[in-house]
Amino acid sequence: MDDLTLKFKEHLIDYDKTSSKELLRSLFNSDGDYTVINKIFFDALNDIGEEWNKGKLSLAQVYMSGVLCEELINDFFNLEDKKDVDSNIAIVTFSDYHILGKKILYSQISVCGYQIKDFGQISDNEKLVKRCINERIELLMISVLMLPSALKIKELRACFEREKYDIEIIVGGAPFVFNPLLYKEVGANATGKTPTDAMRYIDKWRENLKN
Amino acid sequence: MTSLQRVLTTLGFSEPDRVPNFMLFSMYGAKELGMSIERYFSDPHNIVEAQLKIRKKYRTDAIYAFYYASIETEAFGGGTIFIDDGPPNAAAPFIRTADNIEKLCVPDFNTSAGLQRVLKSIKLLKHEVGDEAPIIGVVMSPFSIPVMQMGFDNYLKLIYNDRELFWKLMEVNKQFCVNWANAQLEAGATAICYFDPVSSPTVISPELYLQTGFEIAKETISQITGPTATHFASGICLPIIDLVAQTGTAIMGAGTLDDLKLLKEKSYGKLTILGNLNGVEMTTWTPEIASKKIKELITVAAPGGGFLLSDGHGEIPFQTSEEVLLAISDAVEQYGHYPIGS
Repeated sequence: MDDLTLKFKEHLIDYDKTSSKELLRSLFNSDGDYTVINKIFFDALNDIGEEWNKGKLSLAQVYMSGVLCEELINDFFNLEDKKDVDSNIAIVTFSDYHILGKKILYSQISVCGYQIKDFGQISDNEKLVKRCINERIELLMISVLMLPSALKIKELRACFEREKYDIEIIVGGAPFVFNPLLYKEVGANATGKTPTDAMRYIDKWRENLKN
Repeated sequence: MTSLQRVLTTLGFSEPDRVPNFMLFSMYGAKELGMSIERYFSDPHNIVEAQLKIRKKYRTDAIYAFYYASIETEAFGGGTIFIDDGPPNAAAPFIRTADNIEKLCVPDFNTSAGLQRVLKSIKLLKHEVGDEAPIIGVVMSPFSIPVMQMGFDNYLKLIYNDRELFWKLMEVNKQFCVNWANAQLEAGATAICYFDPVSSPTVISPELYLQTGFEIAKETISQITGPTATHFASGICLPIIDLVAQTGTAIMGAGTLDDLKLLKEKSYGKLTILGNLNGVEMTTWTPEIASKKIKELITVAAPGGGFLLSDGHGEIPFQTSEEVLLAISDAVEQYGHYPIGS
């Protein structure tokens, strides 16, 4: 990692908006080129995710880094509301009411340029399946905190199969951390611990679709 | 030895007759009585019947008077959502603005129907068990309850962006926590489990804990008139073990991802370790796997005392089978007699 990205990462972890803004200002060219800044955000957040995975950073540091990134992106680019984003990828908090995991994932991968729809919190299988079909979602990322919610994903998968609707399901959250094989048991295609895991899976899935 | 004597011996870092079996059952009582979780928690007599049944069946050494976390936020005016097969969840956050915090008052537990049911359970349980086994009451720490009061995301933002308002919220929560803890002790609880997952390094950095959760724990625990255990609900605790020891708590709940050998080495003589079976994996165990896990855990953590065998989260999952729980109890009997390995 280059020094600039390392410094930016440290500013994010420290939730230092002033220093991170100054650093970005020095890189931002007059055309509003998103590419350079996109890379810095991606590399910094990727590293933050890896450190979280190794237990070196806390959930609060990861979440607030993402919050700060969103604020910075809005300050520099004044992005439009993402409610009308056109995407075949969606994220949802399923069955339980703990939305922090979804928020971390959504904000960090959005900041890195991935267009995804935020389905909020949905408890009802039929409602979620219907929405995925109507909006032509092909990859669904599900975040849960509670074990019973994780186990309900099995019923959700069965609902998709009854509708004969083919969909990739990636799952994440505490139950999948404590039981790394649980994702298979509930019929998911993969599990991830960090936003980078999700981004890598999306890239691989897109590549497979092309081929 | 009675269960209480067994527990007190291990808390004194001596070896009792066997490792105390501290599996903690809350909503699981509904399963034992064959009723819905919502119905189970509606009547204190259900908790009494289930706890006595569970203690006899699984040969545990503690009575757990815990209902569910959001029973405390009900006292603030919050709601609870019951599900069929898991812990009740807090309903929508009721603190949405800074003004809500400015105007927040300390609830009176005497006027909270839910908290009165808990106290009634404790009184009835005390009447049944006397001093035979410890009765564990539970409080949500002032530092962790805001996750339910205002939502996790908004609470983290409050801690980072408005420390003055954060401390105002802590003043109200601290008073409530102390009042509620002492009410349970007065009703007959032997000790209080201080649930504080936000203080875990899983959730906030040790540096931030030092500025916040640590100070709050010290102040709150010093005003609780009985012994306490601090639990991080699956969060790790090794990086903050020296600080936790300074809060005045006697027992520390170890998360499933903690290195238990290292934790025991660093805590011995200062804190008794409670834990740390993997509750999520437990739901997929066979009796043979359960027995193996117990043997491994006891071998690492039990020698010298200072250890209570339990799960890492603070409650046995609803999905855990009876045969696995019986296998755990059998294994504690088989492998848990001191000296370990004899």
